[in-house]
Amino acid sequence: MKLKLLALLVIAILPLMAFDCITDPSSITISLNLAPFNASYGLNSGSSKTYGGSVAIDPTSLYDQSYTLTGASVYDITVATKGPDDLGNGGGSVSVNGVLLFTYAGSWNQFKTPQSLLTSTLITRNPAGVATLIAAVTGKRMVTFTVNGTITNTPSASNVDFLVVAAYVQAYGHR
Amino acid sequence: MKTFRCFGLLLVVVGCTLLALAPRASAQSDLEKTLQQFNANDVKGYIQPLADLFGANMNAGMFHSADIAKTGFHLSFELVAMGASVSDKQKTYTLNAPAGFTPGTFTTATMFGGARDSVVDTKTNLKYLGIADGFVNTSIFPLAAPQLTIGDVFGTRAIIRYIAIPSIKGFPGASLWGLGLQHSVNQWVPVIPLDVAAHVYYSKFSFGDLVNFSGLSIGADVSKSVSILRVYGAVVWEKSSMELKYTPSNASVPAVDITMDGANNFRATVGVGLHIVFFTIFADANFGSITNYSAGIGFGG
Repeated sequence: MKLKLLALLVIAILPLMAFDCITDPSSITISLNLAPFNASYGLNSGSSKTYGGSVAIDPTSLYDQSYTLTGASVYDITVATKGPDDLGNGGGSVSVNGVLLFTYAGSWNQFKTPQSLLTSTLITRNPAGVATLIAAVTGKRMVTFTVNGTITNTPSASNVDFLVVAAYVQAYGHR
Repeated sequence: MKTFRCFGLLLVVVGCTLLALAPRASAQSDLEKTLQQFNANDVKGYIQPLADLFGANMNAGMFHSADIAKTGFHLSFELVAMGASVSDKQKTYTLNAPAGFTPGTFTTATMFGGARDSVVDTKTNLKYLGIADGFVNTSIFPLAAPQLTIGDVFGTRAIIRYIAIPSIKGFPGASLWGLGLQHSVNQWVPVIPLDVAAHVYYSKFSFGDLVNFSGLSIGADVSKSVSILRVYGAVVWEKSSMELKYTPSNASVPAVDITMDGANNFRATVGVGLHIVFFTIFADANFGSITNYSAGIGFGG
């Protein structure tokens, strides 16, 4: 009987020293795979051989707000063209919050396959723009992508041809 | 010291059961919310050790005697603690970097590891990070459950295991149930000088709303008693699997519905116990892909 009581006593006492093996959730850093920043620019018809525009995205709309962000990292940026027309050759630049993010150059049709910063020779990255994007995400500031581009053929109609920019960002933080 | 504290955790579970304090938390735990950040490919390696270790624990500690009467009354209430050894290889895994990265893979922490790692693309200096730091820092991963054994009818004994665990410090609430049968072989082959039995055991473990385990164990048990001392062993084929199902918090990531098999398919058990009138104490070691240990106390006989 004494042995049984001892066993029960041990069971009752040991909980007091328990749970240290589970890390406090607030000290665990977690990567939050944000939904991509997607910015789409429709081209207007007419005689103009230039196009441009801005798209603003609130980064806080892309991740679970119950996490406290401690940093962010850009792991890819892609640029692609969509639409029925072949708009010839051209190129342009994309800036983020006023800082050049990357330039691109090539034929419109080459970009119908999305071109990645990681693999494409048609895109040239500007590290300062990447840093600006990271700072905006970490600081929970609005991210505005601005495009300025040129083409050699004009669209058949307005808003049927598009330039699409996608930025893939990991934010990290803890609960 | 951590190991001993985790052993404390294991006993907390028993204590909770004894006190019948087993409410299920309705809110999602931190671990569940963490998992929901990730897609199927990323999360698989992060959580695979949980499938291996839980699977090994689920199929441990059920049987510690093969001495079953052909007919007679047997009733025993037992508290069993299991602990699976966490090896270094279960603390890291290889994660794919995003397409186009060089190198294409990198090593980072599992949920049993330390700080996560990252990979930097050699051409662009873009960086990609492992999904999370480790969540559990221990060398022994515990589980505990009460069980009832009842028999003996036609040389057969039944085992019932059940426990409900409340949500604790970021881990979701859980419930486990198991049912098994152990059948005496000696009644058919009485000349064997050892007690020999065969067993089959099935169990289910629900871990929060996202994770479900199931386990099956089929084996041969032997034991030999000398006075109050009992030595026992077993050879067992087993299978365990973990189903992980959730919708990632990133709406652009497809829903996750994956099943992972536990590492253990075979185990050999050696153990020793003491049986004094209506009190039993036992401990054993189990060797397979995962090494684990179980120990317990029993009342009745």
